[in-house]
Amino acid sequence: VNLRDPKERTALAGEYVLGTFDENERRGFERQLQDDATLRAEVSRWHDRVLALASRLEPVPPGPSLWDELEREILDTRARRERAERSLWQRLDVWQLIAGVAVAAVMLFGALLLLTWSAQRDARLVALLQDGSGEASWVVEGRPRSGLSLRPVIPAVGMSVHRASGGSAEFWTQMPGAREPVLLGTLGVDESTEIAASRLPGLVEGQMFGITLKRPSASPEDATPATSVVFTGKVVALPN
Amino acid sequence: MKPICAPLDHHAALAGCMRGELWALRAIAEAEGGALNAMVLRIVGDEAGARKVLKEALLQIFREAERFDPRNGTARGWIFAVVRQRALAARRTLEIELEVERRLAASRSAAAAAAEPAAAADAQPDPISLAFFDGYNREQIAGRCHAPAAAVRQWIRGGLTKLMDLPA
Repeated sequence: VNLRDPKERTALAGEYVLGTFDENERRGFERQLQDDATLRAEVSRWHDRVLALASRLEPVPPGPSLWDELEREILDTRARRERAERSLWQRLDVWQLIAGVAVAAVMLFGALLLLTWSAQRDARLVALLQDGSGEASWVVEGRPRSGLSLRPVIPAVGMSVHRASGGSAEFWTQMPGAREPVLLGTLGVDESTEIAASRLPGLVEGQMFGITLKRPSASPEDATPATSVVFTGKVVALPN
Repeated sequence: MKPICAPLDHHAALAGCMRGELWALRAIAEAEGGALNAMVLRIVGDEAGARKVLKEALLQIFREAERFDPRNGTARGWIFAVVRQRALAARRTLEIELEVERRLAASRSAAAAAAEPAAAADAQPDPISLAFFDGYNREQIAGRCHAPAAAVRQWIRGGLTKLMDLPA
């Protein structure tokens, strides 16, 4: 088909509107229509021209009930649509459910926040202090807000350390990143040593605890440090 | 029902339909109902079918009024085109149903197959009418008029040229 020639374009548009194309011609013409606005305008002009054909017929009144039926149809459709919309967004129980779910979500979120926060503030922290052999000999257990306790895993070990050091075993801690350890006190005769939170530089994960012993001086010329670290351990947090 | 006496502004009525205003569709139904109904009746053939088609077509106009583009043609042309397309589609459906029934009947009785369709007895029909009201394409018109397709095309173009000179 030649769509360059204006006369041919007009004639083809007329044939299209009249509907005399075969299936292939029609499809080809409709493809052209998609990106040819002036051809679409040509088609619309033909819709106006063929009105003359419809006008040749004697009008046949459709009857007075036609409008009533149309109106009922439209109003029914609208009412159905409104009911459908209302059934979702204007029903009390839907909003009650949404509000309930929202409140529950906020409360759950708040509770989770509180739990996480308090867990961070007062987590249960533990350090196992080991000697060189890798055997756990002392347990440090505590909470940042209440302080800690130091206990020998086997009570006899505590007694023997106390006895061997002549009461000079010292309990130290070193905060993560700190250059110097902090002396917490000497180990008592009791099986466990309690250190209040106020006497701690802090209690956090990664903090080091250690127990040192003063070595009995072998000779006055001995230049090696007088103390040696015997037990050390790093703090880990335990789930509450 | 109070009739609307002023001549219908088709474009304004379509704009009203676009806004969902019922008066607009009522104005179209009252002003053009007779002409549209005559066209649908001519295409579809039976009154009950025509009634259904006209109702559905008017509802389609009400729902899809925004598809009318005033830059390309008149609102009246668009309204009639929508109704005619719907009527032709209904007629095709009806014809397919009738054809299926005819073949079923023919398979049951050889006598039925010999019967010619009543329409074939008509006098020489106008190709433009066959296309516009009966939805025939060029090949079908050629078969109906016992003429070559090329000749039918010339008749059609001649008829279209006459339409170009007529006021709508």
